[in-house]
Amino acid sequence: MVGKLPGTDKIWRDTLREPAWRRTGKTPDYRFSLANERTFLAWIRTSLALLAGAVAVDQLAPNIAPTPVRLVLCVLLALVGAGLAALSYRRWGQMEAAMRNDQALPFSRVMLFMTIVVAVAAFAFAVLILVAR
Amino acid sequence: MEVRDPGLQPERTTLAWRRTLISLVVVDLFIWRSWLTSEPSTGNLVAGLPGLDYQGICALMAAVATIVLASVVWVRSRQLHIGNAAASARLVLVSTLAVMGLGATAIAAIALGG
Repeated sequence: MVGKLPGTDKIWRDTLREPAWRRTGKTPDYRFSLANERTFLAWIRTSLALLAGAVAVDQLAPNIAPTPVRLVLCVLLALVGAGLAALSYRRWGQMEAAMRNDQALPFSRVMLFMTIVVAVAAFAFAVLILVAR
Repeated sequence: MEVRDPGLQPERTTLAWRRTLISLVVVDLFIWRSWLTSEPSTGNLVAGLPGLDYQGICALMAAVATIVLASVVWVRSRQLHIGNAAASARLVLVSTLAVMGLGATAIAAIALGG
C-alpha cells in the first residue's frame, strides 16, 4: 500500500484480482481457509434453498393463498435468498480478514436473522395450509 | 499429492462445491418448469425464435447462472485436486453473483407466473 501512488487503472485491476484485505496480515492455515470456504458454500446453499422454496411454493401450491398474497410471500422469500448470498460473501471476507489479523471471529446476527426468517416463514405457510383446506 | 490430508480437507471442499451446484440445478428446474408450463405468448421478443418470451429469457438466465457456477466448480475442483490453495476472492465473488443473478431471475419468474 506504500510507495508511489498507483494509477486508478492499476488500483482497479488489483481490486479485481484480490481485494485489499487479502494482502494484510498472514495467510491462514489452509485448513481454516478451506473450512471458511465450506461455510460460505453452506450459506450459499441455504440461500439457494430459499430460492427453490419460493419458486416451488409459487408453482406447486397455487391455491395456498389469494394470488397477491402468494406473490408477495414468494417474492419476499426469494429476496431474502438473494440477500443471503450477498451476506455470505461479506461474511466469508470478514472471517478471513479476522483470521489474517489474529482477531476474534466477528459475531454476526445473520444466524439469528435466518432463524427468525425460517421460523416465521414456516409458521406463515403452516397457517396458510390450514386455512386453504 | 504425496501425503493425503488427514482431514481430507480438499475433497470435502470439492464435494461442498458440487453440492452447491446441485442445489442450484434444483432452482433451475423450477424456473424451467415455469417457462414450459406458461401460456405460450404470441409475440416473440426476437423474431424467428419461438418460445423466447419473458419466461424464456428467465429460463435462459437460469442456464447462464448454471454455466457460470459450473465453470467455477470445475476450476476450483482442479485447483483442489492439485493442492490446497485458498480460493481466490474472484472465484467466490463470481459464484455469489451467479446465485444473486439466479435470485433476480427467480423473482422475475414468480412475478411473470402470477
